[in-house]
Amino acid sequence: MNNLNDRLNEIKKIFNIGIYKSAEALSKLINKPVMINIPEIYLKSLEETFDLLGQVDEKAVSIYMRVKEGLKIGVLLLMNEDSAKKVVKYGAKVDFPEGSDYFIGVLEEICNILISYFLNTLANSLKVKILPDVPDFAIDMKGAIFDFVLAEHKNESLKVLLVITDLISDDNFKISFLIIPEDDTIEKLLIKR
Amino acid sequence: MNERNTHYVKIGNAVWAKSPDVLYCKGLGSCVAVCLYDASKKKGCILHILLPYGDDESKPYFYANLGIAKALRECQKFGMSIDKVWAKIIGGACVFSRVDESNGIGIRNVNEVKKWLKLYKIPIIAEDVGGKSGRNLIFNLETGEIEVFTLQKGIIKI
Repeated sequence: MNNLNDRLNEIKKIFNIGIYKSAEALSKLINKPVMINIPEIYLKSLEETFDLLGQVDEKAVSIYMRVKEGLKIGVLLLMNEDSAKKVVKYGAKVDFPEGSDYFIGVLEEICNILISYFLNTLANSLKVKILPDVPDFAIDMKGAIFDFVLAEHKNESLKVLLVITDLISDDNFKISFLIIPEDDTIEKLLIKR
Repeated sequence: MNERNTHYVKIGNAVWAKSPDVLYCKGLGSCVAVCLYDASKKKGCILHILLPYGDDESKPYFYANLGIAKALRECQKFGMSIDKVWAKIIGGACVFSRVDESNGIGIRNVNEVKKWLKLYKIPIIAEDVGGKSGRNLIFNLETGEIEVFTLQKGIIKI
């Protein structure tokens, strides 16, 4: 049971519960059913990780939260502009102009709640204390957002463990959920559990 | 007339080509693209750097401290005259709103790239670095001109 694939599956299960809780929270916030794609887990070289993103120069709206203490991981939510508009519209029940302070504030708050649900579940199931940073916001090319996140992680081994799934609701609304553990966390998750 | 090929330079890679070919990078955030060019031979390269320092010599182009020295050696092998090579550097943005731009990974990449280029006496004749926007770039090896695209400003030429 000690081979790499078993370990990766175990990690995926742990993250799965958190993602499920996040989807539940989103469903309550927007008052719509939310489905989750089966999460995929990848342990890949940094170059290959970019291939998973699809078009790296596509415009995306993102919220990123990094956990620096406890379990070191980054959580990145990516969506296209249309989905971001829908999150704000359904969540706030008001049509704020896109890119306005209110728009960004509501989007950040909703994404913050989703990530917090995920991290709380993770902290409980792994019995670790998790202290996240303040979430950060960007609207830019997907690749530019992602290379910043990876560079901030200072991934010395140039290997990336990545869990990707999508939260999907009706009306073509999709939020991609990316979980990126840092190097020493990968070791912890792979070896100690 | 020669056929013009386009070459995509992925993160942590370096690619060499000559006119009439074109080199390009997409979705550069805090990464830095170092474009080296020998106008007399119309040959050039891009190295797509992720981090300022590192010690994994099997993947030198991820790091400014290893990548620039290695790329310059490869430039010579590719037939470029190092004393005629100039550099243009692009990237090093800080795309997230709360990150301090003056101390972010992007600007540290830019500073390290400049330090190594200076050490090897490679002049930087143009740059489009820092700021808050990710970039695409197209390096025309016929002219040495580079088109840089951002979502905010559209296309500029350097």
